[in-house]
Amino acid sequence: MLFNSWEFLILLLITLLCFYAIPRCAAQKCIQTTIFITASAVFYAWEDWRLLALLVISCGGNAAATVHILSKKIRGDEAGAHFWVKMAIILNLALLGLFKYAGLVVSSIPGIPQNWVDWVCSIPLPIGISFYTFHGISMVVDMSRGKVHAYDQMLQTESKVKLYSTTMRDMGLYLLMFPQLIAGPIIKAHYFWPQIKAKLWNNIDWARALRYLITGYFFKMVVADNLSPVTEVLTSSEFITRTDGATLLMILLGYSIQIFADFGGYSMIAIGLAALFGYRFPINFNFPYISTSLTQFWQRWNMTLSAWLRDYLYIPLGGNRKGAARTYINLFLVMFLGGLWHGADWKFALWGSMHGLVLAIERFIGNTSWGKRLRIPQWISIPYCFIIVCALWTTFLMPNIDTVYLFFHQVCTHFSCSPAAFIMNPSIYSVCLYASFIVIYHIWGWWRENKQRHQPVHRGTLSFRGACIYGFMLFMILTNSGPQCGFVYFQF
Amino acid sequence: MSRKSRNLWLCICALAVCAACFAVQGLTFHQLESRKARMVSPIFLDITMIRLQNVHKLTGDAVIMGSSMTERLFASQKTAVIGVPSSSFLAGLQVMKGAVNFPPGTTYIVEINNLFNGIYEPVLEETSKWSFRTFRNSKHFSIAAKPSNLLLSIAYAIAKPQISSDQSFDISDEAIQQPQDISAALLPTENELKEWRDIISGIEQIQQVNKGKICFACLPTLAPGDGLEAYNKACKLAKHLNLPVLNYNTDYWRNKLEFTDQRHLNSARSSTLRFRDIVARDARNCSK
Repeated sequence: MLFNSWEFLILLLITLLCFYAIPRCAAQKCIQTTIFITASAVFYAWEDWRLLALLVISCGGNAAATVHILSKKIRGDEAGAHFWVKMAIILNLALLGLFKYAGLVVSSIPGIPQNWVDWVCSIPLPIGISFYTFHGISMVVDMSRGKVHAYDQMLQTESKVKLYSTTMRDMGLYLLMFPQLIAGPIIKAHYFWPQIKAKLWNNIDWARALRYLITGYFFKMVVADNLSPVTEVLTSSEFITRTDGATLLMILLGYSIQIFADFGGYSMIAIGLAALFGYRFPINFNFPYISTSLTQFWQRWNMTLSAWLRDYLYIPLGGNRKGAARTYINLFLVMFLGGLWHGADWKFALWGSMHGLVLAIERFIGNTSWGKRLRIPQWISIPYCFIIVCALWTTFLMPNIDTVYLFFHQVCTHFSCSPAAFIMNPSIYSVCLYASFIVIYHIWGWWRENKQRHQPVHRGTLSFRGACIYGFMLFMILTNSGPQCGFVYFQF
Repeated sequence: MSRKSRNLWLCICALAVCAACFAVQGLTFHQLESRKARMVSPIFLDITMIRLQNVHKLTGDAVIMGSSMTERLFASQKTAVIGVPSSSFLAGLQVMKGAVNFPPGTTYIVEINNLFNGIYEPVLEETSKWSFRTFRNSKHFSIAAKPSNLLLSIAYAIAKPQISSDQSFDISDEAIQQPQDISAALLPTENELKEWRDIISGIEQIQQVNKGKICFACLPTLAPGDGLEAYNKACKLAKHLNLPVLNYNTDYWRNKLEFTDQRHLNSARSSTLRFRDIVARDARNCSK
């Protein structure tokens, strides 16, 4: 089910009504959680109910591991807890490996019969598996690290049945919760668990919810969906061959804007929806296109994924504690795996590797004595970062490396086109128009960061100017949305 | 004022701004509609806007039905135009069913380029759901329900210099197009008739239910061989149904008119509009 569909709107309204209709009682939390899980299951199973089976396996396995980890820890059996952590991680990675990477691995090994390869490649990719797998890992790791204390008392006093049912329900909510089920944000267990409690209608942060919902839907339906038909041509080699470089670059710019508006919009909608149910999700994008370096870009783009990779991969690998060379390798490795996480295709691995390489180079320069003294003005560093990010989106978007090569070859050899043809091109026109919203958004972000640094920001209330802007965005959503497209990150 | 009541007032304020935007939009539509000639441009987004703007208000004693090639012709008071991009005569019929009703005696000019396209179930099903939303991934929306392109169009109209003057020709200068001699055409086979059952039924429906007169027309295109197969098939069908065929896909018309691409007429040129009137005039004279 898509956030921008009528079915979802109906589901949301029904869920909200049922969720807050529960009177205050001892079982309020339990019933509300069950309602939320049921709605999430409907949301997830809308296209194909069989997908739920996998979620149940993931949820059950992680819940069982969690209970074992907690009981082992209470008894001081660290080795036992560690064993269950490993088991849970193996379960999560096995699911991910089987459904996402088996095809890639099998097709990369020479000598395997083609019919085997075809069979393995035909295994469908369950939507959102990358996200709920990461959630599952976060859950068991945070439990083992003692970051979640929700069940400390229950372990001492309650029966095993009660303990299992509670962890299963909470885990179900954590994994299934529909605002973040399919494409994040990836919320860490220690951030989420304290929020699982009875919710009251009066406590809804309406300002936050509406602000994020309107902006998110605007980004997705007005900007991303209108740019989608313009940029999808970049996947065609034939189109690239017969188009001039200037136009291709403009369309690539359009894609860079589109992917931000699409994923950023999705994350904002998720934050807004969570706020409607009394949950607070962390922001996932913080004006990424005003980053002054790629290092900063990854602190602003898909922030929850970056934080997950840092906490559960980069730091366990040694982070920056094992010398400079190891730090560079770790950076590269994390980005390589992060790239591969995006999709079971070597082009994503290449995309991640290129990011990792640039991150390592930036870190190397930053570690040198002259690098530490280096002060690059923002009017150079922001375009530098933006150009690298845009250029690397080509590997992300295009079907194969040959097409990427063709793209850059065309840009270098057939750049120029007649100004008249350039101006009259409707694609250029669409890119300029819809990109302008995101450019303005980033200029505002830059201004807020640089000029308002010392002024207090009043959060939680809307200003009159803000109300006018949100009113305008609402109008645009209702009247100027593009053709309904799925979210780009759903494929991951 | 408490935080909650302040937020409530600001939400009302946001809704008021939204409502004001709708009002401004309504006025803009009205203005654009009254000055639609100024909005004619080679950008397909504008074309769509004008075409759909008039879909409920089609009038005249002739209607040209076809695909995106037809939609470039635009409607006038005397000649209606129903151009359904990427689709066909049957899709046009579906649009017409829901939107307009012409008086008995109207001449229906069926563009043959896409006469046989889009007869398949998915296309028709898609068209029936069209209701002025996205049509088969093309950017065609209604101005009333989905003026996605209004923003583009207005900005474009402001930014773009005025359209240069057209090469002019007058309808009275043009010799009347004689209907194509199709006596040499083969008669369709049983299989073909079976395959074209829906098209024939649509044509009969126009003749019997709408009491309309029908004529096939082949519109000019620069694409070599484009529509040749459809043209031959149309001649067979026309012979079977005893209908006239007008052929404008000749060097004369290709030289006379301008094209935005290989297929489509340049709708920014008023010559295109005059061409429409010529087609309507010829069809009125020969339709049955």
